[in-house]
Amino acid sequence: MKDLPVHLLLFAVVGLVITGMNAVFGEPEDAAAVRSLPKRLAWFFLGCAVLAACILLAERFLAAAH
Amino acid sequence: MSARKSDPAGGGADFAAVLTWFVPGAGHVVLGRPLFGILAFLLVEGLYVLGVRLSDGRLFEFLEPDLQGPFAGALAPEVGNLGALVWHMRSYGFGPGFPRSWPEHIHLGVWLTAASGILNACLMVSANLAGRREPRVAARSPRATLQVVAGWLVPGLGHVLQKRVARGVAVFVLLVGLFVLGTWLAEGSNLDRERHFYYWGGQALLGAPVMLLEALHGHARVAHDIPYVDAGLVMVCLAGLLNVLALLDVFARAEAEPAPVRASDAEPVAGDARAPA
Repeated sequence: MKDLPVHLLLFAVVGLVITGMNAVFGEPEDAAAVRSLPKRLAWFFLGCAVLAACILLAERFLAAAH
Repeated sequence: MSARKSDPAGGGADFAAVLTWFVPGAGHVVLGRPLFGILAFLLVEGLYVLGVRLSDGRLFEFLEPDLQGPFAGALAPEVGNLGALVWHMRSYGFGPGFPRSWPEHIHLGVWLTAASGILNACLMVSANLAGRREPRVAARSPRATLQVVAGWLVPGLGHVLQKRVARGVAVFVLLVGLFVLGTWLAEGSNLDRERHFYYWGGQALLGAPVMLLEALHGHARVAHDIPYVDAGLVMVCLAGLLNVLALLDVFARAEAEPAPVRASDAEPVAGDARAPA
């Protein structure tokens, strides 16, 4: 994919917004929401990376078109 | 939602909310507030009927033939006003099946029907709170409804009205920023319900910023391939859907915060929920 960096950047922006809103919804206090943000971001992107790896593996071994 | 735990006898509240879904204002009539119920009915249904008049009822002709089905309206904002949506689909359906020119004010008309659906969802919030047996929870209904409506119109404004300014500003920057970025990527092609019916339904949950941009730059002719149109559409729709999370946060705080205490009602009620300090 020739524009992979652009897609990764856009995904990072969307991930930041999703995680930010998740913190707003999950924490009633502002300070706690801000404190929880790094951990939420780490879990979000780690989860997405694992999911992407599973999809790539599935494509490689189950759905590859040659 | 802590107030709900202190008010478990909420069956009437739930019934009023569901009744409002079908007939705007009916929940308030059942709860003994007929004047408010009738006024709410006139406002919400008036918006819907005006929208249908302006669009000649042709909203669902926007859909491609393979998307036209009995549940086509289930993901449209009009679903918040279910009775009117069912009437609309039964009366006008998907049109005669051949192309014809659109009425002049169709885009304004479909905005009005969408706004009617969203406002009726806010009216359901009002009916649900007004129906609680705990008087202090019920007393929060008007203020909570106003805050939720404000949060729909301007993302973050509901939080600001609750004196949570930093949170409101953060919500506004995150959601409106994502919407503007998505619109830029889609080169404004998202600002047209005819072109992207369901994505438009998602972004409409963002309220006035969408109305404003659509009025300024909407319905532009697309004459070339737009490289990042899909990413842009996902972003604008996601921004609208995430505003629902923000509205739920506004509602939960409004539900839990103390209502104004009258002099004759100064003694705190046991088990009454309070907002966190």
